[in-house]
Amino acid sequence: MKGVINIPYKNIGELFDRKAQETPDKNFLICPGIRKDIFSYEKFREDYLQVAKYLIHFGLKKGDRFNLIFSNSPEFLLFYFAGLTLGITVVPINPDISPEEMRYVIEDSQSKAVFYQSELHHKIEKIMNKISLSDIILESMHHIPDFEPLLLDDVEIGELYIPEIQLFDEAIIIYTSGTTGNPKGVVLSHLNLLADAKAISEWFQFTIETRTLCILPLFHNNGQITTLLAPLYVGGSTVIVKGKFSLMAFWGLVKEYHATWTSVMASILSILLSLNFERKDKTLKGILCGGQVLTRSVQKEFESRFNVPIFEGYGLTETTSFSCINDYPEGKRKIGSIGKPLPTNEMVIMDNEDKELGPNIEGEICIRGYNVACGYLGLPEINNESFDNGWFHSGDYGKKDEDGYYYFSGRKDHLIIKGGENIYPAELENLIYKHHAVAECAVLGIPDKLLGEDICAFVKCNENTYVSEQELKEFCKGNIAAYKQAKRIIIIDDLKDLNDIPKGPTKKVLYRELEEYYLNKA
Amino acid sequence: MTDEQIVEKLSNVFYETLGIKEFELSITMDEISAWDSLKHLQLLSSIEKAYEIEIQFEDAIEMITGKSILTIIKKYIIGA
Repeated sequence: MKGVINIPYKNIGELFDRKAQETPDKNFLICPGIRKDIFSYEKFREDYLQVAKYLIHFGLKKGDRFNLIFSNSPEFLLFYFAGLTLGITVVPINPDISPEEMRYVIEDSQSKAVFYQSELHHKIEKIMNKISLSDIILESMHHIPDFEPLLLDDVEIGELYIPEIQLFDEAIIIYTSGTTGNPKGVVLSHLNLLADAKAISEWFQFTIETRTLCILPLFHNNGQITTLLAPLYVGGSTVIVKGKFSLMAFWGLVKEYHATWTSVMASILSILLSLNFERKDKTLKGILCGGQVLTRSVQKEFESRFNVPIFEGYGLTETTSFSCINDYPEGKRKIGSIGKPLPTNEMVIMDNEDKELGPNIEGEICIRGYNVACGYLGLPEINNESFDNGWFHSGDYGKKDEDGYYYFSGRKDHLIIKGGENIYPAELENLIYKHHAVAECAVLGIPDKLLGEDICAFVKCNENTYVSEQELKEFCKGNIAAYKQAKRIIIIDDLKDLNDIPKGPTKKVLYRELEEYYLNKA
Repeated sequence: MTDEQIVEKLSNVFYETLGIKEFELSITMDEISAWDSLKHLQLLSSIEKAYEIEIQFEDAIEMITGKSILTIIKKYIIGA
């Protein structure tokens, strides 16, 4: 990685300490809900240091790991910052996965403790006697105000020993939503988190007045970095709705709390477009969008209706969050592009032999930099393959143009090879989205005896509209090469046993589930 | 509308949206994996249609348990 990065903090705890010293009374965290909780920088720091003492009480120390199973909440964040301050690795787990999937992550991460919200006890109960790690601590936690007894301690914070934590020390492990086999634990250091937070906050010129609305789950990287650590980096604030977020409340919350930025997946934009709620604020400066292909028609319609610019970017858990984003301010964007690399990383397009390709030639997107993960936990062979010669091989296809703007084509996994021709689903999805009746669409490859693979599209219609398979096929003809047209277009509105395009917790389409549905039922 | 009628209608909504056959007021969003943010949206839409009410955003974020949903529905119906 070329160039030196200037980060004046050795770890996340030091960053928070500095901000709490600079602006102790400023609001850091606002949590609307049945009970609204507001934390100033000083109050939040005091509280997470109390939680730190609680962790020490359980015998946890620097170098250990613990799991957090909470929906978005101040309790999650108190444990999060407590762990990072003590050099204990935080391994969040999605509360919605099955008990066995939770067990896999707990065991794979070799955690010493699991702190989970009390509503999930029925899941933990099913696995507590099956976890193979000896002496693992399993603690059910209540929400504030019942959580508050944890914060009352007669040991002064001044007596709390904070170990020395360096930039390259392990900070968090996030398990990827793995499309094949078991999920992989992506190990991120304090440097990874600080570098990406710094890059995003500087890219969008965040200031102390920045207030992000966090609607993505905190157990994933996007929510953590873009809407929590990036505003923290400059002393800004964050609004985090407790529990699972209802998009019905989106515009109301933006207005109520004067949010200036948020980060979404593309499917969230489609859902907001389908609702009868209009924008009411004057504060929202922009919306980051990544993690999923953003079709041009959705972007155009959203920006036109709500008058707020979308900044498309690209990144993976393995690059902490974003590794490239479209230019800011909005007038400098290249629509359709995923933007240019952040200052903290480099990107290239490589061929199958790891040779760098020139402009406008498709190949694999590879990234190296301060925000690239340390590796996958306990998977040395995959690490050797994926993190090669300092470059992380993303498994995504793309290209860059003569001006250095990058374009995403599709996942290697989702690439359709039909009769020897490479077809990127996004090409057909973009076209189908242009039909007025289409709300959502997902294109995937299906087995074909003659061609190897053919193309199938799943389509969900807008409310009170309908389009048939035949009509959509006619719509596509003449607008896309014949070999890229879908063999089958399945209209979800016609189905009795599928209501929606299946999506993961961050609203990424689950192509594998669609494939299974097609093979078993269609 | 009596409390019993409100709860009966709510039970039907939960069944149609989330497939929950044994609805109880103690039910919470965090306990039910299938009750994600998208389903929550569908649930609130169904509630709006069923009771002919329009839910405000401040109430939308509070409607995450059976009990809180009932309280808020009654607030809209009765105006309490």
